[in-house]
Parts: sequence; C-alpha cells; structure tokens
Amino acid sequence: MSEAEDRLRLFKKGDAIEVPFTKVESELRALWRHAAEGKPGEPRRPVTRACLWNLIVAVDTQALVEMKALTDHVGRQFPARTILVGPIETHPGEDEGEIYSFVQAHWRAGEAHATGSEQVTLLSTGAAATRLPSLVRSLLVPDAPTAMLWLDTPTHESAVRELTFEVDRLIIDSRSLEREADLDQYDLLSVHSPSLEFADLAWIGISPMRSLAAALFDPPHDPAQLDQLTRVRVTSGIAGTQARALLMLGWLADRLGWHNLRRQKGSAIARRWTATRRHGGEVQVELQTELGGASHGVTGLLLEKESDRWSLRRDTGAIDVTAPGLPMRSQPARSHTNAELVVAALGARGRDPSYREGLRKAIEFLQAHS
Amino acid sequence: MSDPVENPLREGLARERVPQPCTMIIFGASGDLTKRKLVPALYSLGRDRLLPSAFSVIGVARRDIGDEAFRQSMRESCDKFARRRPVEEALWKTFSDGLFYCNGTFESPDTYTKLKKQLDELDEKRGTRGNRVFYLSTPPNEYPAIISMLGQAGLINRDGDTPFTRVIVEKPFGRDLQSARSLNRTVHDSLRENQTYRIDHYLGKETVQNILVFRFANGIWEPLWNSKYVDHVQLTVAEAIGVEGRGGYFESAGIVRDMVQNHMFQFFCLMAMEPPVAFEAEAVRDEKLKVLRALRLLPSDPKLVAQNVVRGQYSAGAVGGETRMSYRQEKGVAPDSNIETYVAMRLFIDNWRWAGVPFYLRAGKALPKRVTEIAIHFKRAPHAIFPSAAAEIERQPNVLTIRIQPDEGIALNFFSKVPGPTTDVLPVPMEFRYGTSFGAEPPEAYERLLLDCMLGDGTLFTRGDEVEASWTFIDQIEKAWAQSPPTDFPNYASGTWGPDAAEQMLQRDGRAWRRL
Ligand SMILES: NC(=O)c1ccc[n+]([C@@H]2O[C@H](COP(=O)([O-])OP(=O)(O)OC[C@H]3O[C@@H](n4cnc5c(N)ncnc54)[C@H](OP(=O)(O)O)[C@@H]3O)[C@@H](O)[C@H]2O)c1
Repeated sequence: MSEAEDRLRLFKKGDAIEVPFTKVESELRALWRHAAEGKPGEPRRPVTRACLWNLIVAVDTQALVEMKALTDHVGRQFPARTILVGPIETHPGEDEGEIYSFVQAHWRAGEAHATGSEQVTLLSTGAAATRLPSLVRSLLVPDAPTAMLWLDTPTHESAVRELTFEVDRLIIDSRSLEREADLDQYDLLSVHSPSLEFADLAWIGISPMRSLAAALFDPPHDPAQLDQLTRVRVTSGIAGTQARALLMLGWLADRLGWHNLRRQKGSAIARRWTATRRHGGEVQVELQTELGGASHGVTGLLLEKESDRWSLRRDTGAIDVTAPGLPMRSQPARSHTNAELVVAALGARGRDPSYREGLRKAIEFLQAHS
Repeated sequence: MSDPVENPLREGLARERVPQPCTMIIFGASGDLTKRKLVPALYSLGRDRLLPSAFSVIGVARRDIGDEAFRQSMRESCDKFARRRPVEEALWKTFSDGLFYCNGTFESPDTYTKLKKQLDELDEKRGTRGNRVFYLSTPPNEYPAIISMLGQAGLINRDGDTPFTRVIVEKPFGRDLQSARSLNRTVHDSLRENQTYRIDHYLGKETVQNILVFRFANGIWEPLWNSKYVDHVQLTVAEAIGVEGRGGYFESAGIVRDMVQNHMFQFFCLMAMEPPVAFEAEAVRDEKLKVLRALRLLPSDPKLVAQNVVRGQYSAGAVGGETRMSYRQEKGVAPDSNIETYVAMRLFIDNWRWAGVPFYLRAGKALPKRVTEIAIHFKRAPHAIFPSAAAEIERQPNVLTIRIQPDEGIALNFFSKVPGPTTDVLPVPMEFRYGTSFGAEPPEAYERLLLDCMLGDGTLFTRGDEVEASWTFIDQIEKAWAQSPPTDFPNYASGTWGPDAAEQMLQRDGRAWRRL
C-alpha cells in the first residue's frame, strides 16, 4: 500500500493523520477529494463535507486525551470544523518550539451517502504556542460562525485568550473553576466583549431546573407572588465549588430584582444572605449543601411566601415538583455528559441573554458583606 | 382589565411554550390512532417538560374497561410508539396518574352526563380549571353527534377563553363539498371557528413548516418564485405500501380524498401562497385560501378533465423486490373496484404570480419507493453559449427540491464545468439535509399539533373555508370520474411509477416526471 493510500485508509476510518501545519487546508482538500473517488472501476461515491460552526477547542496538556474524546463525540453529533489547540500556556524564556498538526474526519454513519466533518489538532511546544492564534485564524471556515470551547479558567497568560475577542460564542464551564471567586474572570471577559455570547455548561446544566421553576408561575398562576417571596433556598448535592447553585441564586436575584444583598451568619454548608425585594420587603436566601443524594450542583429549590411553598427536589432519576393547589408530579431528569452539554451549547440554548446578568448577581452574592 | 403580569422567570426560557392547565378528552380512546400517535405524543411532550403543570386525559370509548386497564394499555403503546423508548418510570407514574377512562357510546346522553361529572371532579382534584381540549378520534360519521352532544351537555364554553374549550377534528373532514359544508354547519352551531382545530398531520411535520421558513426567512428566493423564472412545479407523494389492510376504508375514499384534498393541497398552498403578514393563524390561512380560490376550474367535459387528471389503480407486481398483490385482491376491496390508488394532475393558479405555470401533482400507492417532495423547475438560461453542453442543459434544468420525506432536506441543482480541457458541464447538487445539519431529533407531527392546540395556536390547522375551497375543486374531479368510469383498471403494475397516461400528460407539454 502506498503512503497516500495508507493515509486515505486512515482518513476514511476517522483516524488522525499528521500533516505539516502549513499544509492543513491543502491536505484536507486532497483527502476529501480522494475519499469521494470509488475504488478503480467503481462509480464515484458522493461525500458531503458538512460544517455549521467553527469550533476552537483550547486545551491544557493534562486534559488533552479527555478533550480529544469529547471533541470526537461532539464531531460525530454536530457538523463543525473542530480545531483543537494545546497546550495553550506559554512561559517566558522558553525555546522557540514547534507546532505539530493532525487532521481527521468525523463520519456520520447510517446514511445513503457519506457525510463528514473535520477536525484539526494543533499541538505546540515551547514558545510556539504564541503562534497558534494566527494559525487558527487562517483555518476558520468563512461564513460559518465560530465558537470557542475553553473549559479551564481563562487566565491572562493563555495564548488563546486573544481569540475570545474574535469568536461569536464562548463555551465555558464554571463547574471546573478551582475557586468560586474566579467567576469574575468570566465577568471581565464579558465586559471586554459586550456582544460575545456566553454558553456556560453549568448554566445549561441547570436549565431543566430553571424551566420547571419558571413553569410554576406561568398563567394561570400569578407571577406577582414571586415579588412576595420571604424565603428562598437552593440546595446543592456536591462539595467544593458551588457554581451551579450560585448561578441559580444569581438568576433568581436578577429576574426578581433583588438588591442590597447582605451576608448573614451561616456555616460552610449553609450560607445565608438577606436581600431587598424589587417592591420592598426582605427575602432570606440560603445556599445549602446536602451530600448523599443526587450528585448534582442544584438538587433542590424551595420558594416560600408565608405558608405557600413551591419546591423542586431532584433525586437520581427525577425532579419532584410541588406547588400550592397542584398534585405532586415527577419530571425525569438525568445528568448530561459534557459532550451533550457542548452540543446543546452550540444550539439555541447557548444563546441565553439572561446569563450575563445572572452571573453578575452570582458574583454579588459572593462579594456581599454583612 | 389590566394586562396580566409577565412571568419574570420566563426570560431566556421563552422558547419553551407551556400551555395552561387543561384536560384532554379523547373520543375513540381504544382506537388505533390513540394508541399509536396521540397518547405517545402526549407522553413525549411530558418528557420534554411541555405539558401544563396540571394536566389530565380522559379516554372515552365504548368498551367497558376501567382506569387501570386503560393505563396499562396506554403504557404498552408508549413503550412501543413513543419517540423515546422505553418509558421512564418516574415520568410514567406522574403521567399515568392523570389518565382516566370513561366508557359509553357516543350517541347516548348518559355518556356526556358521566363525562361532565368526571371532568368537574378532576378540575377540583387536579387543578385543571375547566380548560378542555376534546379530540375526536372516531369514525367520521360520529363527529356531528359528538359535537352536538357536547354542546347540549353544557361541555362547551362558547364565550371567551376562560375557561377554554377547543375541539380537534381528525381527517377526513367531509367526503365532498356538501358533507364538509354540513359538518361545518354542525361545528359552528356549537363552537366558534377559532375553537375548532381541523387536524392535518402533514402540517405538523418539520419539513412542511420549513417551506415557510425557507421561503420567507430568506430574501433570495422570493424574487425567483414566480412565472418569470419558474417553468413548472412537480409535487409528489409516492408511497411504496399498498392499502395495508385498510381496504374497506380506502374503498370509500380513494387517493384523491385520502391524500390530495388534505395533505397534498396543504403543502401545495404553502409552496404557492403569497407572503402572509405574520406567522399567525388567520394571516397564514387567509393566504392558503387565496391559492385554493385561484385554482383554475376544470372543464366540465369528462374527456377534457382526463387531459388534466389521470387516475390509476395498481395491479400485482413487485415493490422493492417483494411481490405485491393487486388492489382488487386486497382485503375489503371489491374484485371489480374502480377506486383510484394513483392520481396525477395538472393545475394552474390563475393569479399574477403563477400565470401560465403548470403545477403537476402526483400521488400513488404501490409505487417504487416512498418519497414526498416539491420540485421547482426553473427556466433555462435565455441564450446558450456552451454549444457542447447544450444538450445536457436542455435535459436537466436547475431544480430546487424540497424533500419532505425521507431524507428531509433541500437541494439545488446547478451546472458546473467538468474539470478538463473541454467545456463539458454536469449538474451538481448543493444540499442541505436535516439529519446531518441538526443533531436534534425532530418531534413527531402530533406532538407539535397537540401542543399548538393546547396553546390556542391554530396556524397549523385548517380553517373551515379552506376545507370547503379544496372540496370545491376535488368535487369537479369526482363528478367527472363518476360520469365516465375507468375502462382500463388496473392500469399500472405495483412497483412502477404509475400509468402511461400520466407520462403522456407531461410529454404533451414537452416535460417529464422526475425519476426519483
Ligand atoms: N389510525 C391512523 O393512523 C389514522 C391516521 C389519520 C387519521 N385517522 C383518523 O382518526 C380517526 C380514528 O381512527 P382510528 O384508526 O383510531 O379508528 P379505530 O381504530 O376504528 O377506533 C375507533 C374508536 O372509536 C370508538 N367508537 C366507535 N364508535 C363508537 C361509538 N358509537 N361509541 C363509542 N365509541 C365508539 C371505538 O371504541 P371501541 O373500540 O370501544 O368500540 C374506538 O375507540 C378516524 O377518523 C380516522 O380517519 C386515523
């Protein structure tokens, strides 16, 4: 088998092929052309190259294997040109370094004719990371929107930070922050790029809870009751960074116009605040950690107005919903994989105008004084 | 009255439209449609968090079974037919707690007295607030009795929408103009038009709705969408199956009543109509009605009708390698039946946009494959400057295809130069496919339509005057056919593309059907 044939075989199998980084486009073109040619004597086989998004994926060395598995999964679900870049950190005084590049196809099975999308992996050593953004820019498919998946804390040192100012959508994951205080890194980014769409996997992950909560106050139920809540409690089922629970509180605080947040005496597993409601009056707010049940960042929401109580409680397979005057009901719920959340982030869910404000309020909770 | 307060938590989640609490009452609850489509669709809506916070279903039918047996039977159908299978226990518990059964015949007032009592109790117990959607999934001859009895039993709130009463009527809506008019009269005796939801499940299909998005969300097509640039349009609804045990029903219908009057005319209208002022019920339905009213009437002489409408019936043959009996051998079909299983027609819309453009429609059973599509054939370039390619260009003009099923998508064929030292050209397709572009699995047509009705949105349902307009046209065909029964039935073999006369109809115009 010639080298070209061997490469084509790997490409058709969906395996990665190393190519010089200056020749990524031309190699891909050739591979697609050959993939459409049948074996000698056989008719040409139609091959469609599909791309709805450019998806830049920024990766640390440690996470490379994990992220590769994730992009393989996303690539098969969603037609995008995926450009995986890493490692993205540079250190002063490093040698010039190298860029290594690989291309591969993500094929979609079960169709009368083959449809594929492509992935380019760019790996750098030493100071070569600083050249990655320019290479990425040259590889973007024109006319397709660009998303960037950056699951680590967006530090200033990172070589790809500059790309966040050029993309249409930034997919982040506040669940992976080491410190809750780092939430304001996203806020900083959002201040610098007012039109950038943020798709936070943590936010997408709590959207079933948010929509169930919203549905409790859809007509004919009176939403004005939300302005009379006296106590609100969000429960988390995990230890450590409470990004989801904080975002849930931030969302409620923003949508319900709570202001003047004050921290109250509590404990590490039961943090407490008081806020002033939109039309006056006080609401007691609580973030509670309760381990041992469903391992999810938001396992419960309790809203109280005098003797009326609305509650959502999540166990491993379902969310139980109770509300005054309605029968209790269960809504199935399951944990979503990162790949599923990323696919959702590339769809309409990744464009939620209420996120920025929710994030800002979540930070206000963290920064509130007593 | 002051405006209701908006729900502040809806912002950003507004896409998920959740209806008000209500009860859905399904007449014909032990029937095939309830099992295969309706209850599985409701379950799937529940799974997607789209059912109201308080929701119940009451199934009504003749046989004497209780709530538990009804729940068990619906569980089996959801396990078999719901979009996401198997059923999830936690959700099933909540969903089935809201399923109830009421037995009785549709003709007996006692049934409605019992039903009313049950509904009032459920409103109290489950918070459904008197809002009701009645679904008539029964033999069509039962519709008038049920609608009148509902009115007499005080189960319809005709005034206003608090609480709301809506009635979904299954197809067929009449079997000719006279019966459709009479049914409309019965409906309007008890209900306002905007409480009446005549269902045509084709309108619930994503690709059919996409016709409107494709036409009116893009600025580039409308300038071409007229007689100046369009040579002709072909609409095809081809089925590979025969009548599949529904011979008895089909004998009283035929393909024109079963497929053309409703489904096919619906997407024909969406394809041909003028831009509506808004995507809302009255605006869209007004425009569809104008298309039907502009349809050129057929000549009254049956011989001249035959030049524009060709009928066919399948004989034995093979479809996809499997042998198939003739229509006349099917169960429930008369051995000398003259019912058509195929129709091809040539229509004109006499309005400014479509003057002189023929629309060729064909629908048939036992054809080589299952395809539903609209193909817009554009006029050729006015002057041929590539002599070596002239024949190729002549043979295959630019075609824009909207495929409704299977392989849902849109393709545009245009010419491209074949690489090499000559100016040979070949048509190449530019394709968009739903399956490959959107990972998400589309909802079933019935899910969308049931949800829309609960939300009070009638855009994807047919209005009374539309149904009458389409029957007005169809009646001419049925009348001409009744005057001159076919002499050549069966006239196409199963597994072929229909009778020769259908080919000849296009050949006379210098055109040909697309090979699909
Ligand atoms: N099946 C489909 O896929 C399909 C597709 C499109 C449209 N449709 C339309 O949907 C409607 C229902 O179709 P289907 O196939 O579900 O019909 P079906 O299987 O024949 O079911 C008829 C139902 O009506 C009940 N029923 C009939 N007469 C009754 C009476 N006098 N009193 C009380 N109950 C009575 C039957 O109850 P018992 O069994 O207890 O007698 C049964 O539940 C029809 O109008 C059909 O044209 C059906």
